[in-house]
This record gives sequence, structure tokens and C-alpha cells, in this order.
Amino acid sequence: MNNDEAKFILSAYRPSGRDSNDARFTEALKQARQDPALNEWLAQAQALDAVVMDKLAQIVPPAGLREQILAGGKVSQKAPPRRRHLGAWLALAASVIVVFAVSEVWLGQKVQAAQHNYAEFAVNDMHNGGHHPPQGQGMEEALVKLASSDLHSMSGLELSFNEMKAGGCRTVKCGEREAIELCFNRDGTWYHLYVMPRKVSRGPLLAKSKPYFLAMSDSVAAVWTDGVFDYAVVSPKGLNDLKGLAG
Amino acid sequence: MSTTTFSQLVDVHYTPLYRFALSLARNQADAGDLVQQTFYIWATKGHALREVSKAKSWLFTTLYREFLRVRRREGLSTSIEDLQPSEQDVAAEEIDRARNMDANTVMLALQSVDEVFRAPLTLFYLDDLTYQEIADTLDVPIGTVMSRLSRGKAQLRVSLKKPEKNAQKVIPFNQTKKGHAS
Repeated sequence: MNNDEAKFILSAYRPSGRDSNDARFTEALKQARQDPALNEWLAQAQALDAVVMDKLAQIVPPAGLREQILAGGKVSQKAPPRRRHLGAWLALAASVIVVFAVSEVWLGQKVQAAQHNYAEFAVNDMHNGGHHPPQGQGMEEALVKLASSDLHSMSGLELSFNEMKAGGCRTVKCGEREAIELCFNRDGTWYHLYVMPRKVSRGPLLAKSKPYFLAMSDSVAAVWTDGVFDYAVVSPKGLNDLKGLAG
Repeated sequence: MSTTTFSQLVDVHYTPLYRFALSLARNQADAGDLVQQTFYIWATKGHALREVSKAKSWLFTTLYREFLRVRRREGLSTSIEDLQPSEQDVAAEEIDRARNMDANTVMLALQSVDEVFRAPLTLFYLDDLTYQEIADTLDVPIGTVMSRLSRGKAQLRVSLKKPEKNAQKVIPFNQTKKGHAS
């Protein structure tokens, strides 16, 4: 080993004596003891190392770091079992959210289909049939209400489905469901209102917040529900007219 | 692991870990974060370490890996100046100059050393780990540790000669993370 090689090794020899038992340094140390110049070089190099070590040892962590670590450790140590439970809950919550999301999409599609079908049925039935004003006991009152109210905000007809049916109102089949047609005149225009009781039918709930409009040829239908009945009203005067009636 | 044992572990190791972290991260806030993150990982995973005697080495290794992980995520790289190993004689004036510096100025000089040399150099000066432990911490052979140490010392000596330039050269870790590195 020449002195350059010895210097390379000895530059890693710490002045603290920590490496005194490390066999990697044995030969280089022996050479330094035998070579005064190398020994002097080592002494100077270690003196500088000792100063830097001393300066580094004077660096103190910022106040509060220890407490932060301990506080974090306590939380972390308690965390694993909770996190396992949390993970399970999160997985369950995620599943529920997915189920709800899928259900929402599915239900939304189904409601939209039901609205469309009901509106389409109402327009077609209006075109195929004539005018059928309500008949029977209490129907005059219903007619007045229909002729003057905002249909969408109207809360029921205060007549049961069976009463309307027994009163002679025209009944029609919309798929598997039975509806009553109530035709009424407002300002010289005949409107066709279809009423399907929700308790009799089990179809999906129609949009409650605002009506669904469907324009077909020269007629427009609006459908909605009040939770008791599913309504469809058809106007021959276009969308704006119907929005004024049932919007 | 009990709270008492964890507390003892923190008391024994958090100061040298902080010094190592400060050398790597080059600012107090990131150094503190690194140390906290290291103990957090210990608190959540360290219980799997059966030999508590290896905790010190484990903590240094974890801290260094966390530093590398963050640095890698930020896409930072370190330039390596081609300095010769530190085999030149150390003049008495160099020793006196360093002795008259305050600790923060010496730390700043240490922080100006290229990272690849800085990590083994700091572990060398911390005097907490054996060479095998340093090699394990940095995941390099012992020969590489010694080589980097020698070159790191050469850089440090240059920095100690011109301490006023170190403040400009040292870019805190949190600023390099924001892409301010030149």
C-alpha cells in the first residue's frame, strides 16, 4: 500500500475512535504509525474532521419537534386497528355509493322512459279520441278547478280514482295501468288530462319537481306526479302554452 | 411497541436524524418533516422489526429513502463536480477557520456539497453508524462510501474556504421542490 492509497482509506477513519476495531483500517493505520509524514497528514485531517463533527453536534432540532413526533407516534400507533376498520367502512361506503350511483342512473333512465311513454301515450290517445269532459257527481267542481288552476301546483283533484271512474269518466289503458281522461276547456281550447293513481300502479315515480315535456307533431304533452296521481296533460297549442298551464 | 419505548427511541435518535435530514433537505422545515415522517413510518411499520438493536440503522435508512423518494417525485437531480479525492494536506489555517465558524455556517458549507457525497459525509460526521450501517443506509458498497466520502471532504474543504458563497449556492429543499433550482 502506498501513501496515496493509505490516505484514501484513512480519510474515512473517524477521530472518535469508532472505527478503531474495523479491520479495513488496520494496515493503513500501521503504515501511518511508521511514516511520520503520513502520520502528520492524518493528524491534521482528523483535526479538521473533529472540528466539523463538533460543529455538527451543536446543531439542535427546532423547539417542539420532539413533541410533534411523539404526538404523531401516538396517533399512528393507535391508527392500525382503526385504519383496518376504517378501510372496511370505506369499502362499504364506496360500495353503497356505487350501488346508489348505479341505482340513480338506472332509476333516472327508468323514470325518463316512463315519462316519455306516458307523454307519448297521452298525445296519441288525444289524437285518437274526442273530447271527454268529466262526468258524474262532483265533476263540475273538478272542471272549474282544472279550468282555472296551475295544473302542476294543483294538489290532487280531491276525488278518488274510483269516484271518477264511477262518475262515468272515460278510462283508458296505458300499458298495464289504468288512467282516467279528464278533458277540460280553458279559454276555448280543449286540453286532455290523464290521471293515473299511484297506489293502483307500481310504475316509477315521475319527476315531481318539474314536468317533463314532449312535443309530438302539433301537440305537446307534460307529465308529472304529486305522489298520489301521475298526470299527463296534452295541449294542441304548443310548448309555451302548456308551460303556462303546467310549467 | 409501548408509548414509553417509542418515546425512548425518539429521545435517543431524533437529534442525529434531524442533523442528517437538515444536511440533506437544507432547510429546517423539510428536515423536521423528514424526521417526523421517519418516526411515523416506524410507528406504523417499525413494530415488524424484531431486533430493536437495529432500530437506529433502520431509522437512518428510512429517512434517507424518504428523502430520495420525495426528491425523485419532484424530479430533482444533483450535479456532480469532478473533484479529486481529498488527499491534500490540511493546512492549520483551515482548521482554525473552521473552528472559528459557528455551527450554522459549517452546516451551510456541508449543505453545499453535492448530495451524492453529502449523505455519506454527514453520516460520517454524525459518528452514529458503522461503515457497514452507512453502506446499508445508502444502499451502496462500503468502497463506494469511502470514495464518496473522500470526494465529499474535498468539496467541503472548498466550501469552508468560501463560506460567503455557500448561502447563494445552497438552495433549500422546499424551494427546489417548487422548481427554483438553477
